[in-house]
Amino acid sequence: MSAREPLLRVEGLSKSFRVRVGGRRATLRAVDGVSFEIARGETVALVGESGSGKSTTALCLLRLEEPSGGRVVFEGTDMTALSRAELRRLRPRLQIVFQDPTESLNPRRTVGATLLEPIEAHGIARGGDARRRVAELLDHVGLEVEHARRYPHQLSGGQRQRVGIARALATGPSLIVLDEPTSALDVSVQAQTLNLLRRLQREIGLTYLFITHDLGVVRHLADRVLVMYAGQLVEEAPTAALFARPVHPYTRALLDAVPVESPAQRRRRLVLPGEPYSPIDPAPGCRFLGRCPWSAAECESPVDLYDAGGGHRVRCVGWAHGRVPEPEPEAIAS
Amino acid sequence: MSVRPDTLLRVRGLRTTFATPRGDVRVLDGLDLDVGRGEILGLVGESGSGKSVTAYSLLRLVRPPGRIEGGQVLLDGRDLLALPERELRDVRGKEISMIFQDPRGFLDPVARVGAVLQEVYRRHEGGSRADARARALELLRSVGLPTPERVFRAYPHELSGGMAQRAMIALALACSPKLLIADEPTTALDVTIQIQIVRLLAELRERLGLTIVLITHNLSVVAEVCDRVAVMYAGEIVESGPALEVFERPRHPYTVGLLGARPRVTGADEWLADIPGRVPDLLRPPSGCRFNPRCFLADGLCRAEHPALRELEPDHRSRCHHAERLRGEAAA
Repeated sequence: MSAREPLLRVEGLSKSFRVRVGGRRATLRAVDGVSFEIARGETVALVGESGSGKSTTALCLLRLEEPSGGRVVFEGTDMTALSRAELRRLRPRLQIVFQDPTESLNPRRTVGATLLEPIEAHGIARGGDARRRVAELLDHVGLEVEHARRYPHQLSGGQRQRVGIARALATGPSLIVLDEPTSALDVSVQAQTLNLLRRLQREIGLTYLFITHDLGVVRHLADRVLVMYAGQLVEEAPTAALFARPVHPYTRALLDAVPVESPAQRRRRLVLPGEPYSPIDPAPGCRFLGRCPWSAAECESPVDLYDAGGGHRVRCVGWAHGRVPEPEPEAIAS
Repeated sequence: MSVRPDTLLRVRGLRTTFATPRGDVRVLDGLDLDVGRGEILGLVGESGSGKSVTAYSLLRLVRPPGRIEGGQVLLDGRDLLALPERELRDVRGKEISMIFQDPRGFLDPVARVGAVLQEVYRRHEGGSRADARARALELLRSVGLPTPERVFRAYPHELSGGMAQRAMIALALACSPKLLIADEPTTALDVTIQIQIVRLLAELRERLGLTIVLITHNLSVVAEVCDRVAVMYAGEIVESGPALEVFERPRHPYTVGLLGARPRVTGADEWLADIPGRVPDLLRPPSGCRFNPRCFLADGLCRAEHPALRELEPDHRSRCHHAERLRGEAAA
């Protein structure tokens, strides 16, 4: 693997599901031709609403769902071409933390046993060494050694999520997918957890793919942002650029919908009509068409990602042709 | 404590206890709260603060092992805690309505939305089926549903989260209540839908003069729409006041902490200001101020003496011995 090779390269990733709509067979294109790269040490946020395909994308990356098409190249290896046994050897390097730690931890296992399992199963350490590794992991995530003897129900939500993070760290991964890891937590506990994730990244040199619907979390943690809508990537940009200049009409609406931080900042806003769209047998054109104030006939043909400069890409033909205006600076929270 | 003249809901000394195997837990410990007519009050707190138990206590919907032990809930001067159950049933729905986080779990899954709306309306208001149908359609339209006839015929599972929440709001408004209690109404919704529902609540207040108690853990939702705010911690109100005052000049260390812990879209602080520690076990609350083990201002006085909720500026109250030291120390 060359030094310039990204840690993760996703090419044309797709996942379809057969569904029935009113008795009729149809295809839900949950993830439809998604391509992006993640460099070593980067934090990339994948943002979207229900049905955008962000969580399905994550599951396909780890092959916890089998992709219908496309390639996932991780540390130079095409994961989609691997057998189950070969995949197992790669597993320790690519881990995931889920939203609800209560559901992802075995209630009948102590924290110590939960952390010991992956260390022994992947032959990382045994016996006394393995137990020392568990103590180290607990220390890394800000828990005490005595927490190893506890069961999940004896911990708070924040502590359980720390165990989930420790378990992901146990096998020495290079990439961790974080699927809404703080959405179920209270504000004060969320702040503790986000600070922990940032500290771990610095100390261990981790790379994160952070899946979230919370734009405050994105601004706080991400270097780069991918915005998904109805199964497709609609915008990609470095974080500061995205917040300063959201180009896609959906991204603009998403940023405008973020509640103000203080009553002093209340403003009139453009409330987006309608609801997120499920890509069931989608028409070939722009999937945001029905909710977009700038929609026109040209939007009904397939839309490519256009280059907006500085690593900024946008799937909007109206903007590319100068019909959709540049966002006004004063329209954006500053 | 000064009482504003236009108070619709006045709560005094509300105490609600839950029996547990380890003993009784006083979840609400002498809660005082005033809600002005036509006002949107945000009741804010984290898990275990007692904000949802407050909502259920106001409507006397606390079920065993919980029980209301004392206090007054005065709606237009009438004490709901002293009413016979039969009279209370008339109050629920007709004078106070409630909406919840998960409308699809609350709406009857096997009944069409329109049928439920018609039935509720006729039970309380009487009138013909045709009247009730017209009223139901009007309600669905008034909560911003673009195709009321379709929603009228739909079952709850056929509605999206945002549409279901609008349908539940229509149901809550069926009998023109004075007070709407909204318990985390936007928590389960997407960002763009959340703002639609928040705008709808604001519009209903304008159009109907509705009074709203908005219970949420999300301070930004409060910032968006509430006139006043009450912050709860460990079963008590620790700060209350006009929303602008509380956000710009918080006078309780817990409020300062909550405001600072929010990851913001406007600025990329390197580290979030978290609040150390965790919510106390209400079976054995800390002595003195309940927030003292997590507080950056705590001293001997805070460990020894439980602070009272004091009025510092007109209508701005704080339960902190050292509130004066927080003057102008805005988190924002």
